[in-house]
Amino acid sequence: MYSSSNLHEQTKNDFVKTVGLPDLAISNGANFIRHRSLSDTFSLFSNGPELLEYFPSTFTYNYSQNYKNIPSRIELE
Amino acid sequence: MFLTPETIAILILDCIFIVFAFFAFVISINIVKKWDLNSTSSLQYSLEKKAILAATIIKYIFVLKLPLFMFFVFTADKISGVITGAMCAAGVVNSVEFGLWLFVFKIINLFVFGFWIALHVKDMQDEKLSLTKLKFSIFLVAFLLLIIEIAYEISFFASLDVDKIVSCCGTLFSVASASSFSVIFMIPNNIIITIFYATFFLYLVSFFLKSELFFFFSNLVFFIVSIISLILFFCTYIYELPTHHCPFCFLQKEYHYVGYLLYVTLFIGTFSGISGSILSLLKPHHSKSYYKVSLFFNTLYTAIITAYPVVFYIKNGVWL
Amino acid sequence: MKINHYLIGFAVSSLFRRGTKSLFVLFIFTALIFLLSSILFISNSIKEELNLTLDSLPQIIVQKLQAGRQTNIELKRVNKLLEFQGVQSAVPRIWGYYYFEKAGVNFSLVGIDAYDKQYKNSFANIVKNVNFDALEKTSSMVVGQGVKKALSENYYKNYFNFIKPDGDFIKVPIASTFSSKTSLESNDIILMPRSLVLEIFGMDKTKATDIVLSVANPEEIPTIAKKIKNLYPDTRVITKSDLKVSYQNIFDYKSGMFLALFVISAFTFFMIIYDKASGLSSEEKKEIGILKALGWKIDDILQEKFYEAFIISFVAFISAIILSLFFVYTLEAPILKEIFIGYSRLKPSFDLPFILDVQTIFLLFFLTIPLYLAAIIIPSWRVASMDADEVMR
Repeated sequence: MYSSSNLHEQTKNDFVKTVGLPDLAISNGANFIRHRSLSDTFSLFSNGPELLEYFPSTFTYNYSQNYKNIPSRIELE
Repeated sequence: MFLTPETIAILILDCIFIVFAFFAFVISINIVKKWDLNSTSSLQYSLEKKAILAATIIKYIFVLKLPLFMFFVFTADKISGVITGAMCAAGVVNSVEFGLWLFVFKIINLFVFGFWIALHVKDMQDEKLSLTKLKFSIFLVAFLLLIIEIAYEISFFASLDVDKIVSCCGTLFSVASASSFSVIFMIPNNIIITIFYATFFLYLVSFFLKSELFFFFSNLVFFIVSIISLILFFCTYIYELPTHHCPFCFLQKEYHYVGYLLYVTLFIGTFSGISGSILSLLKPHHSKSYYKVSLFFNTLYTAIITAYPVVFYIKNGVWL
Repeated sequence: MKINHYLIGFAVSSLFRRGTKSLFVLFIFTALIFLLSSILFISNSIKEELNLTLDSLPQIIVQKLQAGRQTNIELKRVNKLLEFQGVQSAVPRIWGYYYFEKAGVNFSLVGIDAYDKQYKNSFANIVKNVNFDALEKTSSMVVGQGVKKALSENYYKNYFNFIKPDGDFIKVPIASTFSSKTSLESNDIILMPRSLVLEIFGMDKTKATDIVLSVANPEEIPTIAKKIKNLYPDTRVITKSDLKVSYQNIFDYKSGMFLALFVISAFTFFMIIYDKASGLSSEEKKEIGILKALGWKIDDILQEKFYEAFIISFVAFISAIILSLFFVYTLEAPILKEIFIGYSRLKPSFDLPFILDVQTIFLLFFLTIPLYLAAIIIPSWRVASMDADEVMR
């Protein structure tokens, strides 16, 4: 079941087309959370390697799983 | 490990199944060893009580397994959005080597557990409980099958890899591929159609002859031939694409979830035929109503599946 | 198995007779399902919101990595990328984060080109009153609702002073705000002409943040992505399907965490039910004794117990789902939504799309009701198989 009353699909699509960035502005405690689809494992380290789970929102959202493009020794499940 | 809410739900239920099935398994061993209806010992008395517990547990497992099977297909469909290259459940299931076996065991277990329930109902109607020992020996086998299935399922979710590129149903179900399916793709269309309708005819003959053994085999053959002919021939008409042979895609929304209807009718039809005829072989006074149930659903299945090519022909004037 | 209406009637009246006990179990079970379904509903809605705009995202994004971090990419690569067969356009983008210290928030600054005429129509739809060309001429900016609010709280009503890397100020007037319909997407975004963003970030004019490609035939995207990777091994190529996977995964890992917690609470619940079902008052024992004396079989009593359990769990299930639908979509999930918003000071208005699919209902069903039924199997069997003379004594 979907309701279309509060979707405003056209306006939202126009916005995304103009700006061209993914993800929602729900959580912007850190930049690897704000555009999580574009971030990777190492975006976290720019804030300091010890701050892995510093923001509450990082318990809900993770950086993107698109790690296959990044050469790294961190093996992710 | 691939943890989504859906897979966790399935795994939790698997754990519950293992624990409870194990209770039932221990009880079954005792019953098979020591059951003696003529005895008046307290052991026999407690065994009779425990038999009810075991039967309740098995009923519980079966009643959940039915919708859980569909939920599993649903989940595999959903995961296909994440796995590279997979477009439907087929790609996901085949992304690990034993995916097909997991499916085969799931279907076998549905039949076995369903048959067990039918046997149990029959047994409870009998005052002498003459089938009790038999049904619990069958459960000993069913328990092993269940354990194999759950082991497959757990390792299936454990070895799903988001990064691995899997082949999609388009390549899996085609002559060119080297998958386990490809051998049967050598059979030309007209032969498979002939075989399908011949088995259906055989099935009708067995219905009118009312011979249990014959009916049992014709149902079994009909089930297998139906699945093969569905993949090889009929589903191309569901998709209206001569090259698309996937038995999972028509479970999706684009085809109005018609797959669920097809599989459920086929399952009820052949299951009631198979289990009914075994039961009447065991107990000659078994009611014959299963013949009609089986006939109704199998004919319904054949009618629906035949309608697809026919409607296509009427609409377009050509065969695919 | 035939359904016995008298047994159901008996089960209902038996539940009413033990009012407080049934009510207690019903309450706990409802609360458990309610919490679980609320979280699943919120996360489903966020996913739906993301998928809504998936098609409008760029087909390929090319980023440059240096020393394991993303850095700016050279503009001259754009021409090289345009030479690939099938690439329709390659547009360098400038975007990044600006930390506004006074409010403690990150803004996302996005640069936009005046000569990108393709954006003109969509721009008119999301920003009223301001012409696309006027933005460039007056070098002003369009801000999201959240940005507007954060700025005006700090007395920047009509303009904002950006601090450049060298310490200078740039005064940028606010031309307009984005339509509030897009607040979930646009809340923290500032859109301004490219040249301004370059100046604020102090970026090299020959570089861009990343390059966006559009491909005529979507089938060719993987091939082109592979070719780009071969030509420039230091790049990270993100295709739209990667973004889609990322969207699909947004909660799967972490709502797995929620479920891990749920498993623990569910197990506790299992213990409570098991305990409640096995501890019988003398009155209940007497009742079972009487039933047995009346000729009820073990199966009948078991069946009656099952009906009781099913009624309780089903009522709890239905009422929990209705409650959480009301909680999430009418009350907009107070308290629970903080889990999803986290620290961010720029809180968007939380109007999530209403979505209720069969699969979620099934998922909730499988996670809750079988658990309850499993918890009562053994206790009720034990109760049902007691001997009549033993309990009546």
